[in-house]
Amino acid sequence: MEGIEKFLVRADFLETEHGRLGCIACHGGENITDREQAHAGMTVMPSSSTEGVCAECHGEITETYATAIHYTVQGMANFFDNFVHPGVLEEEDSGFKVAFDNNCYKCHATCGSCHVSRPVAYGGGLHSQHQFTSTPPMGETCFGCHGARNAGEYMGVIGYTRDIHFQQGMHCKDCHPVSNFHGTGEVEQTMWEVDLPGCTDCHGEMLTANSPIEAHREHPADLMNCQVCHASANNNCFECHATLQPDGSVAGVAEAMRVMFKIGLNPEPTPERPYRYITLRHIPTLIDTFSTLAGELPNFHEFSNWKYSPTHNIQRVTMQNESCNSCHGNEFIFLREQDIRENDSEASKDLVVRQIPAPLP
Amino acid sequence: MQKLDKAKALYLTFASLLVVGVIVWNLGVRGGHVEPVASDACVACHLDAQIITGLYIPPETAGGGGG
Ligand code: HEC
Ligand code: HEC
Ligand code: HEC
Ligand code: HEC
Ligand code: HEC
Ligand code: HEC
Ligand code: HEC
Ligand code: HEC
Repeated sequence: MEGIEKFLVRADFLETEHGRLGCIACHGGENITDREQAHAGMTVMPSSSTEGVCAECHGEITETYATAIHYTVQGMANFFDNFVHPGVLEEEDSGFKVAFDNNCYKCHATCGSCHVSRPVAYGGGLHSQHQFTSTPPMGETCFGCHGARNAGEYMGVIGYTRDIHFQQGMHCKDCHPVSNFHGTGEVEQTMWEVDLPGCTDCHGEMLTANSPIEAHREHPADLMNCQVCHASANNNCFECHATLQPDGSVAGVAEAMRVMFKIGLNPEPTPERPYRYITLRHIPTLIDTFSTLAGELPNFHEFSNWKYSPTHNIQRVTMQNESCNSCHGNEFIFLREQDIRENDSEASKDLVVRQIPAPLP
Repeated sequence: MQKLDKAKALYLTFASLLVVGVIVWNLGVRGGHVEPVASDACVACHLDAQIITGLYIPPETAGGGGG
């Protein structure tokens, strides 16, 4: 990326509500023409704290953002509480804390990582020459952090197809309400308890007895999520090992990535997601993922390597819904005993479909 | 003489209170206590494409990761 794509500021920024404040009001530093002296003591990320400069004028947003999962990455923190023990990240000498602080926390989002710049994990720098964009550009911001899965699949960068909604020109925020980004003021523990959208928000209940589409008529609404028929292959990662780098950062490297499509059993149906069958994605955690930094994960076997995945590459016609028997009797698209790898957790086996739907005559 | 001075002092007091009041009120409208800070030196470089290109040394690039 060129320097101007990261550090050039457009002239009309100075005429805006934000630009009028002057660079130093937000970034600090000195009003001196010597490059080094000017940058001394400067704050690269003025929005890194919810109590910083943005709070002066956007208090309602910074207040709810303080507990939003994009800011706290609480879901990732809970991963360690679950796999190791509660409170492990408060222990100063814990290798797990080193991994969290120097790897996971990199994905923590500031206001600026959506509205002003590209996320650090995607090269950083200004995405719109310092204009504060009301709608974050999807390909520069959301994709910067979600590119290996949701955003990559949505835009067709990963997998075999784009999403029909992307083809229709829809942005993530056309489905996801702004509370998914700014939070609500409640502490968010996992992304599943957030007010995520649902397909029926826009399409209404589709799986009804009087639907004109046979596949919609034949299956009750709580039997499977829509993606079982309308999503396609997604990105799956295997065998991740975290290693400490010479510069003190922690790298997590997955040995393999595979684009594949698997339907499994829902290990814990809830009122929001009552389905018996769900679309899956493999996560690459191993019992010894962190063993060079800390010990094995004591509770590794309690959590499945296969997770529920509302995969974002929806199409009307897919490989598995083309005909009834593209799915009924097609053992390759269901999670089978032999798909469970030797180093997967015990809990992964609960998702195996032991009896697939029989072929129809 | 004395009287005039008193009126003058009163006028000046209220006039300056009004000025302070208007300033405070204006800060309130702006919503915070961030004040504009002269930054013409920053602007001199960051608005000039040639300078930015000239000073920039590109690092190794990273790809989009995560979930
Ligand atoms: C001095 C007050 C002030 C500060 C400080 C401030 N903003 Fe704003 N911001 C505003 C105002 C006023 C608007 C509405 C501007 C408009 O309509 O042009 C706005 C609009 C925005 C918008 C919407 C952009 C648009 O064009 O509608 C975003 C995003 C934003 N601000 C983010 C931030 C962030 C992030 C920070 C902290 C780095 C911040 N603001 C700091 C006053 C401020
Ligand atoms: C700086 C990185 C970063 C950026 C930029 C980012 N995200 Fe996220 N996002 C995350 C992380 C990390 C999580 C999960 C946090 C956790 O589980 O602890 C997350 C969670 C989510 C969730 C689920 C939880 C929730 O609060 O809704 C949605 C939806 C989401 N992101 C959508 C988006 C969209 C859309 C954009 C662009 C407008 C975006 N994200 C930009 C890092 C980012
Ligand atoms: C994960 C991405 C993300 C983060 C982080 C984020 N926002 Fe937003 N923000 C959005 C989206 C998406 C919208 C809605 C844009 C639209 O409707 O077009 C939005 C809208 C806004 C607006 C426009 C007015 C409004 O409320 O709709 C302002 C102002 C704003 N954000 C400020 C902030 C501030 C301040 C922070 C940090 C405390 C922040 N945002 C953090 C994604 C984000
Ligand atoms: C209203 C506050 C505000 C003002 C005023 C402001 N900035 Fe920024 N700037 C930000 C925010 C917010 C970011 C994104 C980083 C973050 O997430 O906090 C940013 C990012 C940047 C970056 C990219 C840094 C990187 O490595 O990614 C540059 C360069 C920059 N600003 C230069 C300037 C210059 C030059 C001026 C004056 C012309 C200026 N800024 C004025 C808030 C401000
Ligand atoms: C057509 C509507 C739609 C669009 C567009 C959309 N999403 Fe989603 N997204 C959903 C639905 C529906 C769910 C939750 C399904 C559930 O609760 O089972 C979801 C869940 C998520 C989650 C949490 C679950 C997970 O798989 O990690 C993330 C993160 C997410 N979306 C990110 C994005 C990003 C990033 C974009 C844009 C690139 C985007 N979404 C665009 C509908 C959409
Ligand atoms: C924010 C509203 C919204 C949400 C949420 C949403 N869709 Fe859509 N969907 C649309 C729009 C708009 C279109 C394009 C216009 C049309 O064909 O109806 C569309 C098109 C489709 C199509 C193609 C229809 C055709 O006639 O070709 C399918 C299939 C579909 N959506 C499935 C889903 C699924 C599955 C989900 C949940 C993951 C979902 N949609 C969530 C708005 C939405
Ligand atoms: C058992 C498989 C199956 C499930 C589950 C399923 N669909 Fe469909 N859907 C289909 C098939 C098959 C078609 C027709 C494809 C074609 O045109 O050949 C279709 C068509 C559609 C269309 C286009 C409808 C139209 O009238 O043009 C939409 C929108 C849609 N589905 C949305 C959904 C949503 C939302 C859900 C979840 C609530 C869902 N589907 C669940 C199989 C399924
Ligand atoms: C992508 C997968 C998929 C497609 C396509 C599909 N089905 Fe199914 N179907 C299932 C699953 C999974 C079940 C549940 C099997 C079980 O648990 O017994 C099921 C169950 C059924 C049942 C029993 C319903 C019940 O109440 O349990 C009928 C009848 C049926 N399917 C008919 C059809 C017909 C007819 C079509 C084509 C128009 C079709 N299916 C297409 C996956 C599919």
